[in-house]
Amino acid sequence: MKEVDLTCVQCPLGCKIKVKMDDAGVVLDILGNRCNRGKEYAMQEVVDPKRVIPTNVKVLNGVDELVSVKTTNPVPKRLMWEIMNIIKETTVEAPVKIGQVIIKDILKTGADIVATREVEKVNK
Amino acid sequence: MKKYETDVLVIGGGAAGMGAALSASEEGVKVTIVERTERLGGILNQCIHNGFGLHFFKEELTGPEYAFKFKKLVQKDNIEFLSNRFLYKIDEENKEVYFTSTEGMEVIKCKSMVYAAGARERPYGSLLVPGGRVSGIYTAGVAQRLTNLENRLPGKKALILGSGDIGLIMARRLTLEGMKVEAVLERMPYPGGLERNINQCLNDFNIPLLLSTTVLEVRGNGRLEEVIVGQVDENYNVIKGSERSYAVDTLILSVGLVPSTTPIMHVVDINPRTRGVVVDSQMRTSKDWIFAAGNCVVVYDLVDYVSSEGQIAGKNAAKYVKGEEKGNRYEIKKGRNIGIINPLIYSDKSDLELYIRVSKPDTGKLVVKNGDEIVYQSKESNLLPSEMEHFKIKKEKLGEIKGLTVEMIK
Repeated sequence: MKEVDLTCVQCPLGCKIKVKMDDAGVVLDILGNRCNRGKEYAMQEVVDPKRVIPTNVKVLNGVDELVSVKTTNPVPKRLMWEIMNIIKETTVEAPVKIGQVIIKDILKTGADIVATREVEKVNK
Repeated sequence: MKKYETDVLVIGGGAAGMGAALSASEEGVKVTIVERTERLGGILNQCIHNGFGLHFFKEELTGPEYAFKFKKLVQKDNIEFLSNRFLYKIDEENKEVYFTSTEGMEVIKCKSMVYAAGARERPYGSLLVPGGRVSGIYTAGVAQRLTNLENRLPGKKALILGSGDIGLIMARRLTLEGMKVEAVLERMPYPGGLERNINQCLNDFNIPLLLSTTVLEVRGNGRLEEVIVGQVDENYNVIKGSERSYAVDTLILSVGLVPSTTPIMHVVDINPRTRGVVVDSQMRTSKDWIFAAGNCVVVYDLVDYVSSEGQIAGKNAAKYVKGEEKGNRYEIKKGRNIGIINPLIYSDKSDLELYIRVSKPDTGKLVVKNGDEIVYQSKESNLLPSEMEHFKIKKEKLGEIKGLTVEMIK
């Protein structure tokens, strides 16, 4: 049997969660979470940690140079750099709407890259 | 000089100001928001990370999304938005407030006011670090603005001084953008930011957090080239022989926020220790017609708290316009191991909603006493100064006030 101590990253409360597993890595018990999101986080964290990636995409012809974006779901941490490299090579034409899908199903993770703000087209 | 008239004037269009405008407008009065920049949202616009809104909107949002949702709520007929205006002075006698704008000086006559000007970052100059005046030293918020809004990176290799949340978030942000973050230094023996940020911003990227460590000197010729750091003992004296050098071109500071109260400090009472505006539980300042909310009062952990405090201020500012009398006010005393407490005054027209930070890490229970009677007691827990406790005691539960004290007990 082994125990893993985690700090939940699902919300700013940051619950301290203890995960008890048997030697084969099967989760036996989860303690210390204050909500179901924490339980799901802990289950995932001991198998294949996932994170939401918030970053920016370059905008062409916009009033701002960048539009903030995020993954619609947490994506495997091990793919973070690969995803960042794709996002860095991406540009989007203004106007950009909030929630607009910029990259669909990135690296087949099931998560889209969506805009988290609006960027208007520049008046030339 | 252009003149405006309104019922409730809100200074600042960030989370607190938008919250105040929304709740004041719901009372049916006319509201005017005056904002320094060109858009609503305040600092949320550059906080592109997620983690906002779980309390207020019951979903996890990034800063710009939170701002956008709130902007939609305040697009109402009885809320006027004036951008690119800066508060110049407050004429208390006539309830007239002067602003500078691109058109020149303007004045707004109001019936009540909510001051929601937020906070500023503690600047490098206040740290008195020995060394030359090299470039490459930024506060975390400035680095965040450059990276997230202006598409510019502050440098190539960085050290971060201070483990406040913005510093931790910038450690991750700059790493993702291709900078090398060597370490985060914290002078205190415990971190300044939330545990979750140490986990997802530092541990995920193997960035070391060096506690009881600070910057001793900066060196460079024009641009920053080298930072000397050292460990400190419990009295913050440098431990001889612990010095080491980092070859970096960037130093990011995340050493705390200071409430922004300069334009109002001669009008209302200011807490000399925190520099925040002193308010009661209705968010009323020492002047009956002036209310305040958000980080200009006390620096909060969550924007959700800021929005809800803004709503309390806005609602009571509107009620003042409608002629509601203020309640009796009672000072709230700080007992054992209480660092920050807001509000500092209880008004018996409202519930007592408290935001508390301990002075030092501690294990025990937070209690609120009315006279000798315990009216609130938290569960036993480990508390850190970086993590704000928040709870509400109903007006009915308090009864007659015999002296309120908040303390940490074992």
